[in-house]
Order: sequence, then structure tokens, then C-alpha cells
Amino acid sequence: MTASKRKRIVLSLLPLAIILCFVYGYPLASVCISAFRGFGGSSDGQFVGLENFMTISEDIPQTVTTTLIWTFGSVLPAMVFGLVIAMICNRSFKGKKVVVAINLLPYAIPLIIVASCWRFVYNSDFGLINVFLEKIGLIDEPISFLSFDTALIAVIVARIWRAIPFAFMNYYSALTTIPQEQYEQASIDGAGPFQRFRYITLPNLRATTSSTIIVLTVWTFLVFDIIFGMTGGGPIDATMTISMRIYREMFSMKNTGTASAWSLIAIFILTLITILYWKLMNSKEDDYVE
Amino acid sequence: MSSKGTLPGRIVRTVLSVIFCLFAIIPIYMAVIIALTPYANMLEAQLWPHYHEFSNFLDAFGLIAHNIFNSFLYAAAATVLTTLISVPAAYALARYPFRGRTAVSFVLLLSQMIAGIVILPTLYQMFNELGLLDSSLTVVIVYTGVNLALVVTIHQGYFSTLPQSLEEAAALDGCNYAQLLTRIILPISGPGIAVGAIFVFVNSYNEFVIPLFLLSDSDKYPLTLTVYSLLSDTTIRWHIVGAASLIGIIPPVVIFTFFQKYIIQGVTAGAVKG
Amino acid sequence: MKKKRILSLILCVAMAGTLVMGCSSSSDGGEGSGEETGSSGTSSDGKTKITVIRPGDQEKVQAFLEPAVEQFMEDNPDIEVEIKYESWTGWIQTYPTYFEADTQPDVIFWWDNKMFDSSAREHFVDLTDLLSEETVSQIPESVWSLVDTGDEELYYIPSSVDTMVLYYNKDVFEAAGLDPESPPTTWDEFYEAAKAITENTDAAGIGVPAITGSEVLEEFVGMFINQATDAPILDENSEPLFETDEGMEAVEFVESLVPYMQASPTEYGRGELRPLLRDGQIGMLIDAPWAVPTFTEAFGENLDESIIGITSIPLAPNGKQITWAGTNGWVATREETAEASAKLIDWLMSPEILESHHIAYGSAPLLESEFENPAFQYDYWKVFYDDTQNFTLYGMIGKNSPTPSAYYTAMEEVWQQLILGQIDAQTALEGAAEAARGVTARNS
Repeated sequence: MTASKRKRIVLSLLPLAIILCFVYGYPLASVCISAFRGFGGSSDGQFVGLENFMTISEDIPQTVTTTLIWTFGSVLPAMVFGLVIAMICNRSFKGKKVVVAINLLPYAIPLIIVASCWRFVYNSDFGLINVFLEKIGLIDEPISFLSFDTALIAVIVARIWRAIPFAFMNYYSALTTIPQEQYEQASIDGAGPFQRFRYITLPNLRATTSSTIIVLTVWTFLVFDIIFGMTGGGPIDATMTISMRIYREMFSMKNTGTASAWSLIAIFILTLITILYWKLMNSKEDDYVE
Repeated sequence: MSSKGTLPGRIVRTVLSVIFCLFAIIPIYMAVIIALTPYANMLEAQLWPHYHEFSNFLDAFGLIAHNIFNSFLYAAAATVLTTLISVPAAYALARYPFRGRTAVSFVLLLSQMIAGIVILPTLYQMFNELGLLDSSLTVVIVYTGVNLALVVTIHQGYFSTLPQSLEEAAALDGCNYAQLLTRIILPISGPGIAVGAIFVFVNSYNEFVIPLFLLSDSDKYPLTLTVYSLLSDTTIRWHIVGAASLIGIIPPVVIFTFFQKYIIQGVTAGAVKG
Repeated sequence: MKKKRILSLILCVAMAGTLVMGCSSSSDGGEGSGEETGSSGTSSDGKTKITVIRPGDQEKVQAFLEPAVEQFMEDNPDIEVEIKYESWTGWIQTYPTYFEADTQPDVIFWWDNKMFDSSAREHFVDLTDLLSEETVSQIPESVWSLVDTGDEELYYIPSSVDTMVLYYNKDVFEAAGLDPESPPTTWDEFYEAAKAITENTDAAGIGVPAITGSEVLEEFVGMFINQATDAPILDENSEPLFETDEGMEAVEFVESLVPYMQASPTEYGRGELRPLLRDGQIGMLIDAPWAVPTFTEAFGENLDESIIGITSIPLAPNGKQITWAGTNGWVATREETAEASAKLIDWLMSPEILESHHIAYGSAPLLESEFENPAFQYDYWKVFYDDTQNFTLYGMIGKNSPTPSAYYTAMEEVWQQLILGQIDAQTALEGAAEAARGVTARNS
């Protein structure tokens, strides 16, 4: 490689590197340091070891559990529903364009507006679900969907709503790449629709499934806007996920240290999940070998 | 599988698509009902709009017009900045097999995995020390940062499909590197750049957490912050929240519907953000 | 192919446009923040420039503040005032950032319990020598005792006092077989009324605001504790004062009300409960004067003749006249503009502006002279005024702490558990005290 070419590469990448260091590099390094430093009080600015983690330790089990339920509770259904819609749209029928467009719609909407719209739907006084159930005589008293017992499910449904289009899009384009001959051959061999799905469609979608599920998991794990706008982490701690904790530590406790401790916990768990998925997806490979 | 299929299969498909379409549309439909209802009648049960208070939309627009403008401004500035930084970088990554290229790609992937909320506490601290809190410029820079990885990935994918011969032709014509990029590569990269630009624009327009941490002056608020502000008022004016939400989603929805093909292309090219 | 060409055309135009806009916007942002709010405070024409914010519904704020500021600038040609608007929630979310960034307005409508807030504290300016004597002396003693932060200096000028009163729906009372003209005056009567309403009508006895992330539930429970213990919730070291038999009595009383609250209390803030009382879906509501506009909108100015009754808070078994009160008032935040800021505060505290402020925003009268205004001619305003004059007032928590709002979030979880029947009064009392101590310990 010539010197001028090297210079060219460096110059091309320099602005990218600067911005990424500024927006990710430094703050991320700073998270790792802040998590072990005191903020406010007598230990301000000092190295405090694991004290920040001790301070939040009582909340960790509950918060992590809630975050995991929130994540898997919304990612897995979104994947399944996304696949179903993609299968439907994989053939031509009247109105297909409309069906595709409508099912992509939620993907365009800002998460905070997703929260506001779902709060309308769940409202005890005028929410559509309660009004509908009362009109058809299924209930007398409105159900309070955002109460302690059901709030987590309620926010998960909103998240599923927003995540389906992403799974749908990925499966939709993946399905078009499956060679038709495989299906034709299978039909000739006498395979029914379920067998065709099990032995042709699913194996062909494996790569898409693994990448989509990882991306959705990583993003859902730390989604903030929907919960913040719908329940604020409550009632009590029913919807208190790690991202809500980070916000509270930062603005209610004004403590960058404990906020960073939560961030580190989140990064750690996310890394674990990603590795786990990776392993799972690769080990399953054997199943699909024909 | 392009045949019409059996009758039961068709019925199942129709029923399912109706259900999924209803599910996708219900929250929006609900917002329409709320937005058309006068505040005094809000507690009334409505399955379809009983009122047609279109003035709610005017009131809401009056409140948020300035913020929609801000959202546009931040999103547009971030789009331009991202594109300017990404094009040379993505081109180098796509064309020159230099040492450390894998490392760069890995860092890009990693940055896409990190949600804003994780770094925002320390980002807040950093901008505070630099005296850059509560500034529109800061917001634009952070928007650019969080979208760069995504756009570089898209651009890189597109550039690697361009024929190598272009470069050789340019070299023969005596073009230098900058000229190569601006005269030869840019004009034929419209679609690739468009996909990237659409994603940055919509992501930035929809962004909420970043300005929530970094801005305080309501004159600088993007639309998303104003909607939250309305949503958390002591007395929630549901009709205004509904109307503001509906007005606010128009730009991204229009973009998505119009450029649907590019969006799907971008998503499958690795443009994450579920 | 045609589509593609159109697309790239649109993009080119958009890019060119935004490039121009983008550049100008960023420089606008940069300069703007330096100029309007920067520390210089004096513009090239020798005028002192200050900004003022009164958080809240913009329409109401505009109604009194715009004419007031206009008049002020006419009288003080050397001062230029800019008004900023922001909702309460927006302001609560963002004031830390304002202060950290040093872009906060020069004059702010502040709270008494956030005087020691770690992000704001160092910015407040001592106004002792700058304010006029009348401004300070017109404020009643009971109010000063509420906001006294123990310092000799004068940082905060209370401009409105909002006490908790009992609102009740007379139609609901009648339907429940209660006398609408003799509302409950003691806890026992209050309990009996809530019970009678729930049992004899479709309405719930009492509305309780318990929504997450707002400060309303802590203030609701806190008021009963204030009444029973005749003490603030936290002492000046921010240690809990309510772990006593009297504190227990209060928490047990709240627990006894649980069966008579509206369904799903955690879904409701104060604002959502007011229409329920108006429409007779709940019988009683404990709220501040901010609720009045909801009812005057529906029933006209003269609430004395309406179905909404307003009376003092029922008294605890000790019989002492005690209620919760919050104050808002003015602070100045920059030494460089302190003189101009004090002048503006003097003006905003003058009886005529104060009165228009209270009328526009639905606050109760603070000065006796305000009753001469026809807007305050009705008897119900006397209830608020007399509370301020005659009751012992206990205010918001976290006064002496650098993180006042942390007490609200920490204790809110415990009170929510109590209201939802997950824990009993004993556990709640201990849990709340533990939560408060936890916050204090973290700050030391």
C-alpha cells in the first residue's frame, strides 16, 4: 500500500473516528470509571470500590427480572407475529399492498407517541378496549390495564406492536430469496404444508431469525420511551426496568455513579444474552442439515 | 407458492391479515377519536368519533408548530452531517482492504448495540463540563454519532456493488480522491445515500431520550419532548395530546409510505434499530 | 427509472436546503444560548437583559405576566425582560440541566422545598438589600414560618400559598343520605362519609391521586401525618419524624380509607380526579385551590351556589388546625442581574400584579386587600385564606436536602403499596421511614 493511499484512508476515517470517540468512546470509558466513583456527599469524586453497586444491590434482582420479562415477553411474540404476516404477504392477493403498508406503519411512529396512543387505548374511562368490552356486555366495571398486576403486560403489548414491523420486514425479504424449486420438489415428494414449513421455510430463515432476534433483543432491553411515557416505572415497581433505574438515579438521586453502575449491569447482561443466542443458533444448525 | 392456495387456507389468511391490520391501526384510530372530542366530553364512551372538533388540531398545531420545526432542523442537520462523514469512510471501508478494517467494522457494530440511555448519564456529565448542555448543536452532534454506524453500514454495502472500473477510469482522467468521490461516486450513489438519509432523518425525528437528557429550554424542544410534556401535565388535555400525536407522526409516516421499498432494503441491509 | 430521478432530485434539494439551514441553525443555537441567557446580562445598548419564567399552563401565565412585564419595561426603560414558557412537568424534568448549563432564567417562580437542591442552590442570590420593605412585610407570619430555611439571608419570596382543603359533591352527599350542608369536620366523620357514599351510591367515597412519578401521593399521605404528629415529615437533617404513635395513627387512618377510594388509584393524578368529582363519580377530594378552575368552568364563578362544596380539612383526633401547604415564590439566579431581577420581583409582588397572578392562575388570595376584587367575592375563597392565616402549615419534604425529589420517589413506592393493600400500616410506616433514611444516608 502506498503512503498516499494510507493517508487517504486515514483522512477518510478520521471524522468518523472523532465523532464516535466523542459520542461513544469517552462516555463509555467514563461509565466504567464513574460506576466506581462517589458522587455527592462526603465521597464526592473519590474511588469507592463496589459501593455504588452495594447501594443499588437491593433493587437488582427485581429490576433485572422485570427487564428480562419485558425483553423476551415482547421480542418472541413479535418474531412469531412478524413471521405470520410475512408468510401471508409472501403470495399475491388483492389488497396486499395495503396490508404491507399498514403493518409497517407502527415502525414509523416515535416511541413516545406510541406510549401516548396506547395510554388512550388502555384508559379506564374512555379507552377503546374497555368501551368495546362494556358495549358487548363482557364486563360491567372497566379493567384498569395500567394497574400493578397488568401494567407490565400492557407495556409489553405496546412494545410488541412497535416491534412486529421490524420482524415482518426482515422475514418478508428473506422469504422472497427461498428458491421456489425447493417447494416444488417437496410437493412432488408429497410433503404437506406443515412439512414444507418445517423442512424448507424454517431452515432457510435461520440466518434471518438469528440476526433479527439479536437486534430486537438488544434494542428492546433498553427501550426507555414507552415505559417512561406509559407508567413512569410504576405502579410501585411493576415496570421498573434497568433503563428506568438509570434515569431515576440520574435525575432523582442526581448520582452519576449509581446510574453508571446500572449501565454496566445492562451491558454485562446484554453481552451474555448475545453470546447465548449465538451459541443456540449455531448448535441448532445440525438439526436442519438435510 | 405463488398459486392461490386452498379455500380454507385463503380464509385463514384473510382472517389473520384483518386481525393484524386491526391491531396495527387501533392505537392510531383511538388517537383520532380522542383528538376529535371536546375536553368536556372526554369521559364519554366512544367506539367511533361522536364529535368533530377539528379546532383541536388547530390548537395543537399552534402549540407544537415551533417544535416540529425544531425536529426537522435537528433531523436535517444530522442527516447532512452524517452523510458527509459517512461517504468517505464507507468508501474507504468498501474499497481498500487495509489492516484494521475488521476492527473498524466491529466497533461500528458494537456502537449500534449500545442504547443511548446507557451512555447518556456520562454524556450529560461530559457536555456539562464542556459547557455544551442545553444547546441545539450538541443535540445534532449526538444524533449524528448514534446514527453513523448504521449509515456507514448502508453506504459500505452500496459502494461495494459499484464496478471497480469506475475508479480506474477516474484515475485515467486525472481525478484526485476528493474529485473521485464528488464527481464520480456521489452522482451514481443516489439510492444508497437516500436509504441512509431516510434512516437518519426518521431516527433523529423520532429521538426522545437524547434531547430529554441534553436540553432544558423549551424553545429548543423537538416535537417528541413537547408531546411528553403534554402527556405529563397535571391536568392532561387528552384531546390536545391526541391531536399533537397525530400531527407529529405525519412526517415519518409519509416518508415511510413513500419510500417503503428503500426502507425494507435498508432494514435487511443491516440497518438495525428495532 | 423516472421515480429514481425524482427521488434524487428531491434529495438534492433537501440536502442543499438543510445544509444552509443546518449551518445557520447550529450557529443560532450557539450564539443564542450565549446571548439570551449568558452571564453578561448587558446588551450593547446598555440595557440590562433578564429572562423570567413562571412554569405552568402557557395561556394562564401569559394572561397576567405579559401585561405585567410590558408595564415594567415602560417604567424601567433600562431593563429588558424576556418571558419563557414551560409546563410544570417539563420544568421539573429540565431545571437541573438549566442550572448545570448555567442557562437558567434570571428570575424564576420556584418552590420552597427546593432551596437546597444541589443543582440550583449555589445560583440563588441573596436579595436582602435589594428588595423593598413593603414586599417583605406584606407576607403573613404563618407563610414565612413555612419557608424559613434557617438563614439570615433572603433568597425566596413566597408569592402564592396553596393549602389543602376538602372538596365534596353535594349531590353525591344527598344520594348517600348525608347532609350536604354539614361536611365532615373530623377524621371520624370523614371516614363515615366515605363509607356511606361508597355503600349507598355508585360513586366512590374519596378520590386519591396515586399516579407514579408525580409528588401527589406523598403529599396526600403526608398531610394526615402532619395533622396527627403536628410536625413536618422530616427534620432539618432530613431524618423522618413520623415513627411515633401519632404517625402510626395517621397511616392507619389512610389504610382504613382504602376500601372507599376510586378504582385503580395509581392511574389518577390530581387533574384526572377533578372531572370525576364534578361528574359525581367520587364524593370527596382533597385538593388545593388549583382545582377551582375545573369547577368554575362547569358551574360558573359562584361555586357557593353550585353542587361543589369547599370546606377546611377534617381535623385529626388531637383537634389541632393543621394542613398541608405548598408555596411558590420568586428567586433571582444571577449576581450580575440581581438588581434588575429584584426590581422585577418587587413589581411582581406588588398587590395589583399579585392579585392578577392569583386570579389568572387559580391561586387563593394571599393578602386581605385581594378580597376587594370581584373575582374573590365568593365565600369559598375565605376557606383558603383562613387556612393560610389560622392553620399551622406544613410544607413539602426535602427542604434541607440536595436531592429533594428523591424523597418523593423513594416514599411513593411504599405509599403505593399501602394504597393497593399490599402491605399493612405498620410495614408502610417502617418502610417509608427506611426509604427516607436511605436517601439521607446516600447524601451524607
